[in-house]
Amino acid sequence: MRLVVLVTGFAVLTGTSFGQMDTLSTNYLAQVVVEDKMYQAITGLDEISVDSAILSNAEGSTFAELARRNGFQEFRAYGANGLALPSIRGTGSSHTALLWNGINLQSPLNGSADLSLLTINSSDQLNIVKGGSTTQFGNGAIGGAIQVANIAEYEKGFSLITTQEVGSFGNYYSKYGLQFSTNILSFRGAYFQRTLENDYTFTNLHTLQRAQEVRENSRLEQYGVTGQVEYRVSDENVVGARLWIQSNDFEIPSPVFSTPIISNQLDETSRYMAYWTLGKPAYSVSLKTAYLTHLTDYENENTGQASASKFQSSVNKLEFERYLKGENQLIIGLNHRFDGTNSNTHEGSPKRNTFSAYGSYLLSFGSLDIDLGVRQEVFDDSASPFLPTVGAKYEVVPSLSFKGSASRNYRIPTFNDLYWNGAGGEGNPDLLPESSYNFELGIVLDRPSIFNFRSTAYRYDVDNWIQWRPDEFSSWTPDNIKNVISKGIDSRLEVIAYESAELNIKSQLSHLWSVVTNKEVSSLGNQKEVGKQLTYTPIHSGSVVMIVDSKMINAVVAWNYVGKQFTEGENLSVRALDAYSTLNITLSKRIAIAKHNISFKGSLNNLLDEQYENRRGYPMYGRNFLIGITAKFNQ
Amino acid sequence: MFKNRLFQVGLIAIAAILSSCSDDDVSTSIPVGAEGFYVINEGGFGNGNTSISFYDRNSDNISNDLFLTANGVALGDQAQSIGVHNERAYIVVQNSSKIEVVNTADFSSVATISEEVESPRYFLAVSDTKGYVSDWGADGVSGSVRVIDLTTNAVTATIQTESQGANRMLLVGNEVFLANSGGFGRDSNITVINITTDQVARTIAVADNPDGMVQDANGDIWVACKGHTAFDFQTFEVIEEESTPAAIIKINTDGDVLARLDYTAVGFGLDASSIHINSTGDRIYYLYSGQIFSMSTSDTSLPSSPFVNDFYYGMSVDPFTNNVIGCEAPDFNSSGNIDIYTSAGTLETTFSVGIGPNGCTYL
Repeated sequence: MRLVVLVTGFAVLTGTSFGQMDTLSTNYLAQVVVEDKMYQAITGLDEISVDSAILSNAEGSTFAELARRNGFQEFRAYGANGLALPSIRGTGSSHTALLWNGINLQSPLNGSADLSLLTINSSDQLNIVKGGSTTQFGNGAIGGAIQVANIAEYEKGFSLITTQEVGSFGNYYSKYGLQFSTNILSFRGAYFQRTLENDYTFTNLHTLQRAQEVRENSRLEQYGVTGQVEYRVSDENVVGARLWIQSNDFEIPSPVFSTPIISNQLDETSRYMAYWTLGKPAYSVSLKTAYLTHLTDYENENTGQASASKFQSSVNKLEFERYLKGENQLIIGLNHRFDGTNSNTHEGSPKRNTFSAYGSYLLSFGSLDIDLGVRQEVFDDSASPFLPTVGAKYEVVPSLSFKGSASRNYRIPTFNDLYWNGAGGEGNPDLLPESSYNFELGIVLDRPSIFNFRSTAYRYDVDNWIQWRPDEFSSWTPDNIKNVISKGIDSRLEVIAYESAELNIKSQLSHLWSVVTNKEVSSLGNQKEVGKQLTYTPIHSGSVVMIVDSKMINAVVAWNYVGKQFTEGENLSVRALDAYSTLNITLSKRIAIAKHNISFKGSLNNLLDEQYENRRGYPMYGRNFLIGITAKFNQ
Repeated sequence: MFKNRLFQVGLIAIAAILSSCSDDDVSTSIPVGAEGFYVINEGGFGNGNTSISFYDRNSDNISNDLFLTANGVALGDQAQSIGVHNERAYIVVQNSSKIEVVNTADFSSVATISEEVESPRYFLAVSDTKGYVSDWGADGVSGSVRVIDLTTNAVTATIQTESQGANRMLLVGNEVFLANSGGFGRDSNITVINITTDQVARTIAVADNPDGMVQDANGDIWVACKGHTAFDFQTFEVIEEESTPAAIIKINTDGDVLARLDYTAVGFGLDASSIHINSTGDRIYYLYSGQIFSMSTSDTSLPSSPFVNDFYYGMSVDPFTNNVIGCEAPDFNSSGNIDIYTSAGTLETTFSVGIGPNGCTYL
């Protein structure tokens, strides 16, 4: 048997809940700066910020579900309960850094983070950062980064919080949490659990009869604990710690056209971090240390095939920020990361130390901001190339500005790429790292209270793209097969249709034109793929969102579109996935009773019952609902 | 105040962009009544992109994606083979656990056999009303033969072989010789089945993991055996002392071994498979380590050099022209090719077919 190498709506609940608007971004930046100084010092970034209102209304959802309901095109989900991976501007899942309070959660085994297993309740802020300048976040950030952050609150007293949700297909979610804070101490903790039966009716597009069938074998059971404690030693001196422990036990469904295979996977993750921040008027220093573990236990009940893998990582990160004359800034950072794995599928239990030094200098000349960045990473027996970035933003007039960046990006092969030694394949210790040159240029038109438009043209040239393929003996192995060019235009328009203290109505339109093609294919690959679009990468995608925010109720209507996706490297249309669109409606209402808040929410997703797939053979949900209530006592 | 105009312009622009995305497929024509052969394209495992191509010998043309074009739906996941009988083609789709029965005239669907079929491999008609389908079983090692009523297209009985990996079949008189290729396990037998009683008549020991058989002009049966590669699951190192090499074996219909030609090397991919014979029954062809080899039925040793110097995923010999067809699968994400050689080894033509071509079936 060959190795089985193992994602629309935009529904938000408040008028200020989503956007790339400069106003929101500015507010957000003020909070995020504590978590990741590098973020502040990069001018060429293009970001989507999702504030706490969205996140709290998506309480029991995974990132994959949030993306599916809210139209983020930066995620790909491969089935209702299947694998969900980041994909920014057409790059691969291992080309996006996933940062938890500045700590990279990308798996050292496969370079990815399965977003279907990450829950929203574990974050206060979610930020999708796009562009090559994210190379400053480290190895693997070729397309961009996803930032997940937690914010400590003070002087809130003692409060309890519970959320209960119920939805289609046997979806039940409960969360119980408590918060306590004084002027110097902030603590909160929560326990959550979720069960999802996930048996749903779909139209089997792969049968002659277009039969109505019931999708089974995709049950999910999830529980976890999150916690955070932060102590203000002084106004300038903060220490804290966080934890995020989660268990996901789920069934992995087979494609609907294949013989059903009953397989189960248990993922147990533990994430701990401690941090210290010193903030002086002229400078600030932050120190973070984190310990991460991830156990994966897979079993195929049909064949009895089983595999177990575990990795542990430790991260130590020191950042220094110096505020210079004017708005100039200097940021310098040092990072050490250790990754080790212990599994029956990796020969020799591989380990890796990564030492990184990086810096960024932000120069401000009034209407012109320029950032210059450098990063160098050293591994046990090799080093990354010197990784420079340059970015600039020029404000022609207050309503018109241009920005752009150029960078060199880099990704070392994962442990699976190098050392996999299990069912169906073998790693390749001779792999070369992927590297790329990224360029982008954007325009921002902003008329506050009227509209905001931004559009960015980009081009990434990625060399030595790693791809797994079967060798002449039908054993899968990775090789540096391709040189890939990703180019396109990423655009977003927000129009304020009506704005008052009582009622806000606005519309957000987004569109991504993404052409990701094979520039070259090595002699090991299939030459028929030269010049062809990468599989499962739509050339067009977009969304139209209407938001009504009133004192009575908040309503969001979101229409999302994903264009045709080729499923074969040669781009034959016969088995391409059809373009599809979904329509989603979300309503919410918050009631305050004395010191207590009660929020009601309800959403109808895929209202038109579109039958579609994001990966061949993995049907997505038809029409479905979710209702929930969140009660916050003494808040 | 509503900013209607700007809002409308935005909507129109987005709609215009999005509506420009689609493009149309180019249909392939169905070669009704043509003479030629089918090419089985396995596709990528789990990707549901298996397909059937057809080479029209008269027009020297290839048509791809016959099933999808004729029926408007993809064939399934990993077709292994096609059997043709009485203007019906029986497409054995292993990883969809089904046999699609189509009309050879236009490839339109006649029936789908999916009940009591688990992991089917090959179809062989043994009479006008009865067919056999070899089946690896759900676990890949429970070999059996499903008996198909060709008038109702239903499984009427199952013949348990007590062996692993029921694979290719050969009809010899009133008996079917079944190569037990091991499936996901290991075996070294040929099961002989009486087609009148649908009972196992006898078992013939050969070398490890016999893949298939042909009958030569003398009535003798040539068997290509893949051999067995044992390896350490931790280190992936080949355990040579527990491995056996590939072999070409000649037996008579009684099961007596008349000749045994063993390879010496063991290891991943060093297997012999996909054995075929020319129309005069005096020259056999087979794949060894991905290369096509050829030898006379009178040879007493294995050929030292390949028939052509290229690597293939599958092969076949056209019984009408004696052309040798090499099936090339550069990867399992894009289409492969067939190379058509004359019997002298001269490359005549190359056609692009579906993903992962593994062999041919002749009309």
